[in-house]
Amino acid sequence: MMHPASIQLKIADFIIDLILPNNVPFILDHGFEGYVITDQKERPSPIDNKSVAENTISDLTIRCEIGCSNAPKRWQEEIYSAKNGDVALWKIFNTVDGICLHVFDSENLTHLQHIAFYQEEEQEWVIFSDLNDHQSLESLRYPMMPLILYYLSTKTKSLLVHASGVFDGEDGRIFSGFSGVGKSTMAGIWRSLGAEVINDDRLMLRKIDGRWWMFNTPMYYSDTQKKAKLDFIYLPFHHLENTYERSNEMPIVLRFMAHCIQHGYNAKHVQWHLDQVLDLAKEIPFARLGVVPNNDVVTFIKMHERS
Amino acid sequence: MNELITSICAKKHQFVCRNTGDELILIRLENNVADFNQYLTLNEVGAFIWENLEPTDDETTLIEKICAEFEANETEVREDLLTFLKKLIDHIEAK
Repeated sequence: MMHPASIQLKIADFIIDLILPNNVPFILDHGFEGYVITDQKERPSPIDNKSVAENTISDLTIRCEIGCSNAPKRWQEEIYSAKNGDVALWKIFNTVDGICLHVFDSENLTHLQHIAFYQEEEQEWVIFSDLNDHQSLESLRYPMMPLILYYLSTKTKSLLVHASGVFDGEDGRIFSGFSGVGKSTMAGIWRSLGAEVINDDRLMLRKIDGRWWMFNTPMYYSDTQKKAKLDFIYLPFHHLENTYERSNEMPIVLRFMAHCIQHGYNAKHVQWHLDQVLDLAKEIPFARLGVVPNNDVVTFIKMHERS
Repeated sequence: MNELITSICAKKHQFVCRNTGDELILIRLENNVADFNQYLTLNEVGAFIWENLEPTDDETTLIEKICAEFEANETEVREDLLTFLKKLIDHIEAK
């Protein structure tokens, strides 16, 4: 439990400033621990004794406020509703200068968890949340942070993707696909041979200084920040033998894009992400990979990468 | 052909498009989410038609635009255009 008036997070090398109300305990979900900046050397430049609000080096500012009922009722028409069956997980409304999200408690979808305002141009969120049973504030409680990261990806050269990512000390590889294709299995095989697993389920890909990188992001479990360069993109599937089909043609590239996380309401976001995927396809080799899940697949992959 | 032109114009907003140099990719939006299983690639001529097709167009004006751009024969363009527009509307209306 934290009491400071501000917290800095570093997620996928984005610096995120949380501005908190005074004297209210603030709780971050369990998986955030490794992403809190405790050493100011982690920031890109000194903050020169300025307050966080004055400091302009952050990529995103999140102002955390108490009480959904205190949110100004300035949302307008509903433009999107993310649903589980007939029940809304979150709804998006237009505002005069951005959007407003009504985010419901994933464990009790009748309960409004956050009312959040997002101003894209200023990269600022204001999140209103009720105090929990322990009178603490949980402004980034799931699914708020993944939503924030998604919107960050609509404004920066980045993508959130369902994929596992591994780095063997030489090359970074991701294995992308929906549940059941073998993302975690591949990560486990590479781990068993000494590679670092960046994450086995979800990655943020970013283009920084002309090259693509992969990062982990906060999950429901504790982890440290991890990052590796991205050299190969694979779309695995279970198969009777190992197969390798390299292609950066549209059918494979768009299939990969289907694995990118969409919380869409806006064609502009789709176009932005399509641009990022097309840029990836210019720079990173893609391949479909038939996989027999044992260690031989690693040798098989490396052999084909060199050919 | 005019009905096809009207129908296609009415649904252009349901697609996100990106030019990749040689071709134009069209991706359908369903409930504001992209459906990457429903995409279409258009060649240079198809891309020109898609990008220049306007609600005020009819068969005559559209053929004039194409002939002017590609220095093509009007009769050939009319025949090919009808085939193209039929294929396009089939894709657009496919579920």
